[in-house]
Amino acid sequence: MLKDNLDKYIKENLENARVDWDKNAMWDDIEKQLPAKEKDRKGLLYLIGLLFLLMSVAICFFAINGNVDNEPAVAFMQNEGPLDKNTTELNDANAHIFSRPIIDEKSPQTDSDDVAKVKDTNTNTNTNTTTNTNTYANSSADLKINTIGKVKVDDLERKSNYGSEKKSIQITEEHTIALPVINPSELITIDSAVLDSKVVSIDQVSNAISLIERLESISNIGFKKLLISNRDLPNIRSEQSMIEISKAPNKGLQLGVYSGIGIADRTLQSQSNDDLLELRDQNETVLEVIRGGLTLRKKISHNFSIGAGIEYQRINERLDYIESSQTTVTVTSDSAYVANTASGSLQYFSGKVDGVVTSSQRFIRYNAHHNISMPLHVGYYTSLAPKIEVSAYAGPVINLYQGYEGYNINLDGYIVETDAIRSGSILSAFDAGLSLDYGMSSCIDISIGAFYRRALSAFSIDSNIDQSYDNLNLQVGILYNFY
Amino acid sequence: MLTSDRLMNVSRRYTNSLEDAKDVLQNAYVKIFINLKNCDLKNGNIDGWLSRIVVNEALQLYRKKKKDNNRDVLYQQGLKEISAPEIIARLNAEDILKLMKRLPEGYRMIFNMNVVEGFSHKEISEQLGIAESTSRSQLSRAKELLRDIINDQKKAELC
Repeated sequence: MLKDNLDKYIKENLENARVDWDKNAMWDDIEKQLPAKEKDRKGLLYLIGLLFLLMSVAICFFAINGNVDNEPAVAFMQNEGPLDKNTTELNDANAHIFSRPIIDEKSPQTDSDDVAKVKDTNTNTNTNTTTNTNTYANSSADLKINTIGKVKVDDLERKSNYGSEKKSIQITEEHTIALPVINPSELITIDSAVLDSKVVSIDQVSNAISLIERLESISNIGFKKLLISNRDLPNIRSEQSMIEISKAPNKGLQLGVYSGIGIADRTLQSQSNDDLLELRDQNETVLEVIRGGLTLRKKISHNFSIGAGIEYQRINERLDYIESSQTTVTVTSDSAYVANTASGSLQYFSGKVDGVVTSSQRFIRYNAHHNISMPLHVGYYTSLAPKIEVSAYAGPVINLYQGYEGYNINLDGYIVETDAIRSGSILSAFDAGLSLDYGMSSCIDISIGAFYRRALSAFSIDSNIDQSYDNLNLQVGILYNFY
Repeated sequence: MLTSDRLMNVSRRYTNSLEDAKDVLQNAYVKIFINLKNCDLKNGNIDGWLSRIVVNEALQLYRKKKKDNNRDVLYQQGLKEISAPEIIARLNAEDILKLMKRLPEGYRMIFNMNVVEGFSHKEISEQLGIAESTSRSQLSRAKELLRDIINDQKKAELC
């Protein structure tokens, strides 16, 4: 009974015992010991990945829809023979070049809407310049025809009204567009195309439709003047040179906004302390690169472009380090020894103990390198498919600002908050990359690309180790075209 | 009683000093915070879970110390009846804690785990890495020794 009472009594008392202790100090210690909260970067990565995926899907979707009809139809006629601009009459081989569809100014509205009211007429359109006696279709039999694309009339009309895009035709000496009708009920054939890239973009086709509409409102004479103008172009030696003028539209100035993610390879170089370098190398990990910026690109002649921008780049790092320290302590204890005396009672003897206290603390810290820079690029672009343009570019990156936020290991092996960093030279890196632009409309392009950034200078966060990052990046962007 | 006080109480029972108790509680709290997301707060017994972590942490310290200094003083003395129940009644929690401190650490662990926390001998044997029979016998000896200590206390008061 007593035994049970004893157990119960002891249990109750011990459970309700109160111990005086300094809670606040312990909470502080616990907070230090707790691993730093891992930043929730999964969401950000998912978001960027999703954006990238959506962009890719959108580009594929529009690219496919922009090429619904890939069957040949938009024919380009090429004549190898020289064109004598002083000749007032063309032979058959050359005649087709100037075999323009003639607008029936007397009854334009009576023509089929399907062919945008263009008649397939073989009229001698200008006695001063051409004598055309062949139909377009007939003459094509004698010609080398590069088949480029086929677009149905319905599609043309629909796409000419694509979105809210406004089409405007500027008939300059650089354009030669003729629209002879081969089969008015089905097709329109255009003998103007991008010779060098072998593509006719939907823009060009739409432009052609607009041209037809415009031609309806002008007289035959006006139309012929246009032809004369074309024909009188200087330095025309062949039809090809005449048609080569129809190049991909130069979009001129582009303003873009972009963002991207990447991976980085960090290089550490010791100035004086290899041990510290090894310590940092073992305990620090580069996580990911996140960037975003504005870019301005100007397309210049011969498919070259120049560009400049302002960019923010953040490189995340993880520091996982166990800091240890040893302290020699002497403890004087009154219970170091206990012994049974002869009488059977316990006796305590004080004791003195020297010992080494080794303490260790694990630090997990997330650091970030911030960099604001100005990338300068020179690029070369070329048309890959209708509305799709690929460009390669390269250039230096000018460092405007960089900072490092977080913690680092110091020479004594302790974790300290990083001071202001010592920056390297103003020329921080060199970029080289590829991008793929898709023209959403006449004003907006979507761009995806990848580039490699090679560091040209290093910086230091501890005045002992120089560090630099090479990184490989993917990015997406939107470009606005100023014509 | 605040949870932290209650857990400190548990920790204090299993350790020799307040400093050890603080260390145990601190380490336990770190584990609690790290593993909090894995704890089923709705369905589980949160108090029991918290106590278990503190006890486990204390046992870990005990095992470490035992490994460092494997020389628990074992008391083999005859069973003595407690002849003065009134002495027990006069003991408060602090006194009992002091008495408990005079028990060899191994005994104290087993006594605490069984009598106060309600661990079975099987659980104790698993936690401490000993045989169940050892747990039983050491608990018995812990109780005997506690009675001895109380009797000594009584004698001292009479003198």
